[in-house]
Amino acid sequence: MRILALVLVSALVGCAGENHVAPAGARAAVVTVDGTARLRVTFEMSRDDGAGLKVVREYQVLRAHDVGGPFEPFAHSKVEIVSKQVRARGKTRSVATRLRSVDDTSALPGRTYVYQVWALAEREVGSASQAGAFSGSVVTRPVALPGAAGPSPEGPRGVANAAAAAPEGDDGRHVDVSFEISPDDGGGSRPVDGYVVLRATKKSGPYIPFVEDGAPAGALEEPVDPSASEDRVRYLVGLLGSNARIDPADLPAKRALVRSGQLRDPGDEEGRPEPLAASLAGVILDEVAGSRPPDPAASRRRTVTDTVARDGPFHYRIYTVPARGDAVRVQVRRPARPAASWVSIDKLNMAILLGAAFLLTLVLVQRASRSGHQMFIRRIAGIDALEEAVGRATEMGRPILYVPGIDEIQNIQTIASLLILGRVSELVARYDSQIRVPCCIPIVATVAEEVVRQGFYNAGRPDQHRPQNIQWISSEQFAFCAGTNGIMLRDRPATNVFLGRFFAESLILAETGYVNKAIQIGGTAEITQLPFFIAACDYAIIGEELFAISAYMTREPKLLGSLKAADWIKAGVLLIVTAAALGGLLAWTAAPLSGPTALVVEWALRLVGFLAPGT
Amino acid sequence: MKQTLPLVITFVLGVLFVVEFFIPAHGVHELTALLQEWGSVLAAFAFILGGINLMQANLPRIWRREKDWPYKVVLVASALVMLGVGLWEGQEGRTFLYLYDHIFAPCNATMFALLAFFITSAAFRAFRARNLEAFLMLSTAVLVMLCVVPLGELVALLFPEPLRTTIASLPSDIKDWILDYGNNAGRRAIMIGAALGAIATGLRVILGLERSHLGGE
Repeated sequence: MRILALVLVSALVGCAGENHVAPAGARAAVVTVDGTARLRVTFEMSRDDGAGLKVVREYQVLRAHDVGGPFEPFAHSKVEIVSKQVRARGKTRSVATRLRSVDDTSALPGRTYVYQVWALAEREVGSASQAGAFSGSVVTRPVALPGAAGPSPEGPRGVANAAAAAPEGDDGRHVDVSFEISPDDGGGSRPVDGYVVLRATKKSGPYIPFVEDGAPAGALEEPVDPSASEDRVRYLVGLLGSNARIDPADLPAKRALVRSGQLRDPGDEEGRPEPLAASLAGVILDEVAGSRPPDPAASRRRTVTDTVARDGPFHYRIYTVPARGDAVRVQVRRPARPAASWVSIDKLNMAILLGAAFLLTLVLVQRASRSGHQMFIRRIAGIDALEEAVGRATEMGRPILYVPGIDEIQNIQTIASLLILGRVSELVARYDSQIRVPCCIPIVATVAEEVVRQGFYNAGRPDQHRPQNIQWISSEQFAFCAGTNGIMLRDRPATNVFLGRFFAESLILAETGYVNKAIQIGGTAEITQLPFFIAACDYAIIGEELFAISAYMTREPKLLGSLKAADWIKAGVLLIVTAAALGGLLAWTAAPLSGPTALVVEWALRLVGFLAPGT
Repeated sequence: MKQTLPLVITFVLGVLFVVEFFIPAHGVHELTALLQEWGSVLAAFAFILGGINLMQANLPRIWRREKDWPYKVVLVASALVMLGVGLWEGQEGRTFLYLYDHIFAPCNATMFALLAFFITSAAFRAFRARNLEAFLMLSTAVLVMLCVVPLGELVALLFPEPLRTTIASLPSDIKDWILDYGNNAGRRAIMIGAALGAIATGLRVILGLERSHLGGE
């Protein structure tokens, strides 16, 4: 009931009102920097910035010649924090304020400008975000840069081949805007400061800025080969020398050199030699043999990704921003609509594995339910000892301590632990003993209380249940650890059960229990904590055993069927790993493969490549 | 009904969250994100329940002057002071930060520091060579420890020059071999087993096979 009330309250809070954010105010003024008059825009951060669910990603400033617009990007300095001097205790120190400023570095004397300051915001909704949906702006009053008005400088040429389209396999929230940079970029008399893309829902505008995903479309610095990753370039240069070109006919000889160790990896960043993987060397050598010089056109291509909030269509303008004067705009001819893909091809391998697990579970559970015969399950000493430990606690008149880990309720280890807690509390109730459950997360404590209550109810002893024994201590790791240690030392439980996800506190808890001479059963799937439980507990439950306990305790055919399904999948994984290891070994020996061996190796490698892309 | 409704909700939401992982379309993702947001708000409200639980568990014991009741006074008073100051000043408040930095953080660090002593005592027990397996574990551990400390490298100085260079790189090679092959193979086996176990548990809960938490067998 309490959980239901919580769900209702959270739904109400989640649906709370939404409004746009905007900078709290902005003004433009003439300032003198190094004896030169400049226009400076000063604005106050949005009141929502740093508070609430709406997150301000960045601030952008646009410029127009009058209040009616159109507002366009321009070259300006970085957004600076405005500080103020505060005098306290006889000392003066600089304190950051919520004011920010930018200097217009491209304004021309004698011209009047109006500035529009945008707060680009989004509202975080779980792991997704409604990007741009909450952005807002303020406009300054017009201000003129002193000086005699001269002719406008000739701007650079605009971008070419601009296009906007939804990326492939997208979630339906992105539009890629791509273009070739200005022919004047990268040297010339009309320098380019950068590129800015603005978006509108109507072709006539207004066009507004957005947060560009990935690197901003800056001006050209130096051509790079986008096809080669940094590591591979470093590797190739070290291994083969710069400007390496290998004749394909030389490849076998080079590979032999690599395998014999005469050609070695140039080493990591600190110069330490790294062992060379022959298969990687082969791949890289193949790439070098077929490599071509970097395509100059590819290095002049830019793509900006826009995360959009609605269906569209969206119109885009790409501005080439010069160092001085007004930006040159190019309209993307066709508007773009984001397109949602319903199938993720990248995850097909995982879908097949999960589907196989699902089907196997259903089939084996069905078979187990029909036949009803007892399935074999290997002995888990820690669980066999549980009943004995509960009996010992009853005889000694002391409680049992059960810690369900310190992670959140949604962690599968916590869920598994709470399922086991139900069985354990039932056992405890049957023995007429008591169980203490300290919890690190409040919601885990709430669920644990319900689970223990149900356990006592199942055992027919609801009156024996004491709600105060299920206790939330603290959400801080070591505060929780100190509190639980306190319970161990004061109440001296006869048995300590640690099942769930643990971190650094695992050994502190287990060692305190050891000092207390309690029987200890520790289990986790957290690989780094297992050695501690093995060292300090009487019985350790390792990895997958944690997830099998519930079935082990009840011996219910349906649950055992699901365990059997996991075993079958494990056998399949074992087969794949063995085949891949053998295939890799045979391929590595460089002996030419033929006949069935080559076929087995090829298929094994294909299977591994499909199930684990990138290996 | 008491069992069926939670089972239906678990099945529908469980399948939704699994399927969502394989569908990139934003509409589905937005729905699950909204549900996750509800979950976060729910977890935040659970702190209120946690606070109530804290008081329910400790105040009666203080009232009845049960054994060790002064510890509970410290616990309740600390919780109330931090709650009051936090509500009054906010998380960035001066007093709040002072209490956090000067009382809580040192206590936290003290608890963490205890780990060093516990590791020593646990290692002492674990590494006693009682049988062949324990002896193998002890020797491997000693070897790896020697290889990662500077002392291991100094062993090379005991040998004449032609051998010294080869022996100097030996500890690092031995350690890497043990960690990369023996240790890594074991780790991966446990991880694969745990991952499959987690999938099996997830399916058991989603399919309603595991219902001990709902009162069923």
